[in-house]
Parts: sequence; structure tokens; C-alpha cells
Amino acid sequence: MANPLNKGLMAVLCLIFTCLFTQMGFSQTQVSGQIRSTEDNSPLAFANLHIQGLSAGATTDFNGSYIILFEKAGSYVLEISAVGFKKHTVKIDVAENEQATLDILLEEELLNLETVIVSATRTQRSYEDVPAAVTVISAEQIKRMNSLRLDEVLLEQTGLQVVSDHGTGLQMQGLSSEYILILIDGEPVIGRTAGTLDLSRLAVGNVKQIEVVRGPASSLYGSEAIAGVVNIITDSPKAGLNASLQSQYRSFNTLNLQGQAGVRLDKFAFNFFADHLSSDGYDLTPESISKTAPKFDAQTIQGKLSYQIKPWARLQMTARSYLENQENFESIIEEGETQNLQILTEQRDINLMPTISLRFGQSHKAELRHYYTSFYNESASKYQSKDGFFDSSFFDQSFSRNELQYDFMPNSSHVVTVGAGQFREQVEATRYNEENRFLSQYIFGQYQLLPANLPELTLGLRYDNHSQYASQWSPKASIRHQFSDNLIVQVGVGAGFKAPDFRQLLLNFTNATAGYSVVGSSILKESILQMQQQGLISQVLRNLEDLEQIQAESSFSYNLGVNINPYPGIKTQVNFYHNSIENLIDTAPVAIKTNGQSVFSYFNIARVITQGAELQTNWKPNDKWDFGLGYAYLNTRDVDVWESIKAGEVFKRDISSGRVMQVETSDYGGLSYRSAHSGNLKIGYQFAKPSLNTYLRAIYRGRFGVADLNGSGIIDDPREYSKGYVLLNFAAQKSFGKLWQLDAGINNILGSTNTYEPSLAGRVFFVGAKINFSKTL
Amino acid sequence: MYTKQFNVFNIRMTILLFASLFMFSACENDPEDETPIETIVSEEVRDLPALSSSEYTFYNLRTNQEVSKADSASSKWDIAFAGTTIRFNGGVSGPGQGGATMLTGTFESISSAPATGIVADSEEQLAISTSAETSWYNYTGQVGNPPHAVIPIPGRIIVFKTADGKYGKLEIESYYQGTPTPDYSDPAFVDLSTRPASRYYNFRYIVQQDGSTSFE
Repeated sequence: MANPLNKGLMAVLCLIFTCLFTQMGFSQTQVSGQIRSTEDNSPLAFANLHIQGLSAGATTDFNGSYIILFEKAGSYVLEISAVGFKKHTVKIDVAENEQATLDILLEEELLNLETVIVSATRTQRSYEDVPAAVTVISAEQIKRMNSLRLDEVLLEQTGLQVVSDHGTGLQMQGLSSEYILILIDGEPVIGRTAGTLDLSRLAVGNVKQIEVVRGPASSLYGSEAIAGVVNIITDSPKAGLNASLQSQYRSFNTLNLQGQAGVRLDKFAFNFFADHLSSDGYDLTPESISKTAPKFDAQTIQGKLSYQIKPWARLQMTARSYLENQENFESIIEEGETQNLQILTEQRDINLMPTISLRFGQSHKAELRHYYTSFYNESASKYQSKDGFFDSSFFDQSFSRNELQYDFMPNSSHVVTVGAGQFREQVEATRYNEENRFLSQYIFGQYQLLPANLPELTLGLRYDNHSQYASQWSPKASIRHQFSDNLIVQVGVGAGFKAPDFRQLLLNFTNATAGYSVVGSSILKESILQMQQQGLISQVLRNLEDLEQIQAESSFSYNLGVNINPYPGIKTQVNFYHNSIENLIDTAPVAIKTNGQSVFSYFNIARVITQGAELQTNWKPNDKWDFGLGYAYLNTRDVDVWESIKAGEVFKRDISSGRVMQVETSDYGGLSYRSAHSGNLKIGYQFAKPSLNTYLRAIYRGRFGVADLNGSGIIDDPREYSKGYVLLNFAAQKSFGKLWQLDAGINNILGSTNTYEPSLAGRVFFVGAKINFSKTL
Repeated sequence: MYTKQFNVFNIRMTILLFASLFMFSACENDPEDETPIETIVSEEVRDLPALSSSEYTFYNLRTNQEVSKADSASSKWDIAFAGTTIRFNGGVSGPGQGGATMLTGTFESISSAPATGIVADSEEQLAISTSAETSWYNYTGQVGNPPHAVIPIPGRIIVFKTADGKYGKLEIESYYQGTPTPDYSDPAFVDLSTRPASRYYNFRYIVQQDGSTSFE
């Protein structure tokens, strides 16, 4: 576990004067060397060196190397700064024509005010310098909230909504889970159910930080990065030997046990994380035997190994595994008899990420990454009163990818990133034909122009070629300018896309009771022909010869971001955005079966617009208090619906009079399950004696449309909304020396629940304890 | 089968309409303007049962009366109901000149029958079929809220021809007994055990008796 205090034991600031005074052939007075981190000895790129009283200075390259030329001999004070590290000053004496070497180790800043972000540009950039709307959630914040899973962390962030839909999903910029790319250390997490990636699968106990990039990022990441990217950066091994154990007990018999151990030697580092979470679940509808949240137990383990083979080559291997078992019940009516079913679900994830990082000279860096991941889900409904199964199904998906990324930085004003990769995706499942396989190749490039005191420019482009759907180009451009220390403005445009998923391409499903069929787009023609031969089709509604290849859902977006610090201690970030998404995939009937039911398939049908503004302001007046205020405004619309309303073609039936009336554009409530208003207020207070850290948060989600009640088919009546809710969460932490820490708190103090958001369990109490060990080696 | 006890009661909108128009014209004080308004039959029908999905309930829109099944092969009926299926007396459905088309608008806004589009029931397709464009209702299905409900689509107006070739327009208001304006979110409606009986048509219509396409 991170124990910064321990670093005091290992010389607070290591300064190594290697002082290899070599007399070179030509006469120039210079100092050169490398800037590295005390944390893991890694070279620090983009570190700034400045000579006090002179305009001279230097910036380090990817290798952390620098050279400063001096006009004359003398005594100088050198200031070294790097984002996320403590500023350091060192006095140097240089003699005429001397070529001195000076390597410097910088200590990581305890309060990570200037955080480094990788997700926005795939290169390390300071949080303040990132050309996109970004939120970073640090490990410290996660621990302060006592969060165990990703959904609990994201729930409290401005502009993000946790929405239950086939699992605990997410909404960002008004778009649902399927348009949000979730990464662990830059690699995509797979295993979505109806588009939702269940965030409660992802433990956050070993997280260094979570980066949330809002707005499309397909120019770097390809499919799914329409609304944005959530990248979970896991911990790297700390210097020396570290270990921690942690436990937390919550309402509903929820138990979490975590352990972490890490070691870092000169060239070798390893850490290991294990997490157990189990719960009895809860039931908000006691009249049914089915629980709102099932009983489950889940195990996560992750190991990360890194080895510095050569000064210029590093090998890293990360492996993660997740196993979850769930139990729930359901009651069905079969042949007039009520049958109780026990539903057992097992889920497994595996992630493997071997990486080789290379640095060539001063300005070249390359990373070769392989990634393999698999997701397996098996579910069986067993009769309770008799033998046998009512239903059983499985879903087996795997994804493997090879990717090469190369960064070139000729000098500190230009960064060029190019990359290429290929991946293979495979699925085997009930409701699908035999094994299905996709292949895709892609290339991407990005250019960052970073001139001093001038607007910075970022340009990116990616091309994705795919075996099952039309290929995609994803461009992006952004300009960012720092007008003063207190005002930064960024403007960006970009494109995003989401590939049709397995279901949309390959599903082959007939509802046994209702008799309708759903067929994926890739197998549509052959399936219809087959059904025709079997005499199951009475009428084909679309000309099968004219069917176009399905397109990826694609977006075009622009944003305006302003960072403003109006008053010392106050940091404010506002982001305005507009996303226009076309070719949204929806089902439509293709044929009528002889039983009168339809055959449905997937087509590019809908267009939607989501737009809004997000404001986040943080104020830290002193060491005791800190305040955060967030507000998000969201406006969404289905473009075709909007145009129909404008054309006067949408009607509603007034409940009281029974009369049919035209719907006005002002009545239109946009897409369902979207709140126009949401926000949060966070207050932290650190008591001095006894030392106690307290943290109170109020999270508000405004009303959201849930169902059409007046026959208009859209949300356009106040009664069609669910009421909003407020969650009030409180946590307190008490440390006993460096070794022990106790936590306690209440989540959802008000006991809010909502019929349409079953993840709100009501009031949850928790207590926890943690113990840390660390040793310098 | 349907018997009198189901009590089709007709509200004589015609009288009201006449009265108001009379008052209107009286105010205008323009006795020369002989409006042809008396040629329009305007009715509301309540709880017309269509309980069987094979045995049709026949109805004469000109006289606003139910027609016996014995007259099914005659031109005495204009419209027939069986479950959610609606037929008009023409084409494959009967010997008359009847047919229909589905228009979009409020009942009042449809001022005349279209020149084209009114078709008779055919072997391939009924004039008012269940295809997305001409269906008069949405079925909410198992996962809908309320579940398994047949809800008329607001703004769908059937423009029809009677068996004797007169034009008219018709709006289906409800499919549930005793509830011409159901509140579909009412818990009593959502619950299938307390929901009013289905397959009872509540609708309003007019027929232009003068043979023109105008509804005004």
C-alpha cells in the first residue's frame, strides 16, 4: 500500500551526484543528466529545469534526460519541477568548458494536485494541460468515500449517473453504458449484457487513480468511446516492501476483505492484490420472491510484475481474474401452476496484459502491448419443487489484441504518436449460431504542438477496419490556450463510433412463448432464406437484396472547456458539449411469420442529440476544510421524434378529457431515464484533536422520464417522470499512528429508494479497519 | 354473444351540433346561408363488444346501430369488429363499396377524405391492418407498463367509406368496458385482475351523408 510517510526513512530527497567529469573534445560549458522518480526510479518526461535569474532552462525528453548549456562558468541555482512531484532546487558550480552530469531524483508530491493523465492523449500530460474535459479521481478520494466498487465511485461524480439496466451501468453526457469505453490500465473491459458493462464487477481497492475523459475519444481508442472513456489506472509497486490488509462490513451482511503486497527492488517490482466481496443482497419488493439485488460472492485477484531488462527496456505483466457467484429466485406460471425457480449465475473474467516498453535515445519511445481477456457467464434456472431446469444459458466471449504505439518527441514543442494494432473477438453462446469470430485492424496517429505561451494544438485520426461492418475514420482536433495562470480555454471537435455488437450482428433467437424471432444483421439474409424454405415466412417486408451492410453508430461532437481560478484556493471547470449521434441501431421488423409474429433485425435507424453543460468547482480555504460543488445540465432528444413534433405529427391523449391533442416541442422531455438537472455538494473537514477525517456528500439526481402514459410514445407529460432523489453519504476515518486506520459511515442517510433505480438499497451502514506495513529494502 | 344488456348507448351529438350551429347562424343573422350541415351524422359509441376473434360484431354507421350477423352478406353494415381486427364492407369483407385508410391528426383537424388512399380489404391486407403505419393501437406486451394492454394510438384517424359509398372519419378512443378515457397508469388498470374487460370498443365518428368528401 502507498505509504508516503515511509519515504522519510529512505532519505526524503535522494540527490545523486554522479559527477562523471569527462573532458570532451569540444569546449562547451554544460550540465546534463536524467530526472527520475524516487517512487519507482522511472525517468520523468516533461520535467522542467530552470536556472534562477536566467531565462535559460530545459525540458526533459522521454528518457528523462536534459542538457543545459551555460555561457560562462559560475554558481547557479537550478529549479526542477515536474507534474505530480515536489519542486526541487539544487546549487551547482560549473567550471569553464566543463561537461558535468547531474542525475536528480524527484519525490512524488503527497497531495497530487498536479495529476498526470494518460487517457486523454495516450501520453503523460498534466491534468491542467489536457486538451479535453477530464475528471481524475485519486486513490485518496476513493478511500475517503470508502468505495469498494467502480459504480460507488462514479455515482458521486458530476455529470455521471449510475443507472441499472441489465447490471449497474453508467450514463455520461446523456449516453448510456454501451457508448462508454471502460478500460483497465488502458485496455478495454469486455462482457456487456445488453450493452451494459456491470460496474459492480470492478474492484477499486488497488487503484492509483480513475481518469474520466468526457467526449468522444475514438481517434485514440476506437469503438465505444462515444460519450467518453473511464480508465482505471491500477497501482504500481512502491519502493521497498509494502503490504496492507483491509476489511469492511456493511448492511445486508456485506463483507469485503482486501489484501495488497508489493515489493520494488532495483530492477524488479511486483505487487499483488486480492479482494473478496460477499453480500446477502436486498429486497425492495418483498411481495415477490425475486430479490432486488441477489445474494453473491465475488473474488478479484490481480498481480503486476515489472522488470527493467535494460536501462532502455522494461517488461511488464499484469494479470487479473474475477469470479462471481449469484443466487436469486423467480416465480413463474407454467401450465397454470406457479413454479419457484432458483437462478444460479456464475461469471468469470480474465485479463492478461504483457507489455514491453522501449526508449531509444532522447526522443523515441515505443510500447508493444498484447492483451487477452475473456468473459464467461453461465446461468441456470432450477425448479425448486421438482427436478430439472427451466432454462439455462451461457455466454463465452474472448478478445485478444496486439498493439504497437510509438511516440516521438523531437523537442518539447512537438509530440508525435502513431500506433497500429489488430484484434480478434470471439463469442460462443446460447441464442447464437456456432462459434463467431471478428477480426479488426486499425491505425492511429496524433500530433501535439505545444509551443510555449501560444495556443496548443492536438490533432488525431484513427482508421478502423472490421470484418463485419463498414470501416470507420475517427478524427479529432483540439486547441487549448492558457491566457493566464487563472484562465485556460479549450475547444475541441471529434468523432466517435460504436461498433455493432455481437447481438446486433449475430443473434439468432426465437421467443418460445410469443413466437417472434430476432436475427442479427450479419446472418439476416441466410436466416430469412432458411425460414422461407421451412415455410415459416408469410411475407418479407424489406427487399433482402437491397439491404445495406450495417454501419457503426457514429457521433460528431464539439466542446468548450474553461478552467478558471477566480480566487486563491478555488478551482472551477466548466465544460459545454454537444454530441450528435447518427446511425443508432434499433430493431425493426423484416418479415411476417406464418404464425402472425414478426422477424426483427437490427438497422441503422435513429439519430439523437445530447448536449449540456457541466460545472465543477472546488474550494480548499485551509488545511481543515474542503468543499466541492458540481452541477450538470443535460438536454437530449431523438432527432426524428423532434422533427415529427415540429411537423405536428405527434399526438397525445389527455387523460382527464380523453381528447387527442397535438404534442408541442416544449412538452418534449427527451430520452427516457435522463435527468435534466443533477449535481453534488461535498464537504470535508479534518479535525485536529482527536485527529479525524470526515467527509459528507449530497448527490442529487433530478426527475427523469420513465414511461409514456398518454399514448404519444414519448416523454411529454409531468406524470411520465420519476421523482428525483438525493443521496446523503457520510464517512469518517481515524488513523492510529502509521499502522492502523478505522473507518465508519453511512451511505444514503436519507434512505432514498426509487422504483426505477433498484441500485438504491436504502440506508447502508459500514465499519472498516485497515493495517499497513512497509519496510525499506 | 352480445345481447342488449351490454347496452350500446348513443349520445346524440347531432342534436347538440345542430343546436349550436343554429345558434351560431342565428347570431350571424344570415338566414340565406343554408348550411348542408344536417347531412353529417356525428355519433359516439360506447362499449360495443367485439368479444370473439372469429365472430364479428357488425355495425351500421349511417344509422348508428348494430347489425345482426344474419345480414353479414348484405350492405346493411359498414364496419365490423372482432377483437382488435376491423373490417369494412367492401373487397374481401363484404358486398358493399366500403374501404378505409389511416390518417394522422386530431379528429377535428381531418376536414375531408383524401382523394386517394382509401382501399378495400384485400386478401393480402386489410385496409386497417396491424402494420406499424395503419394500426390503430399499440399492444404493450409482457414487459410494458401497463402490461398486455391495447392502447389506441392518439392521432390515428380512420377515414372510411360506408357500404353505400359515403365518406366518414372515425376515432377509436378505448378498448375497455366502461372506460371511454382510461387512465392507463391507474394501479387498478395496471393490475390485470382489476382491469376493466377488454374488447369493448369506444369510438366516435361522423358520416357525410351528402356523398361529398367534406367533413365540415
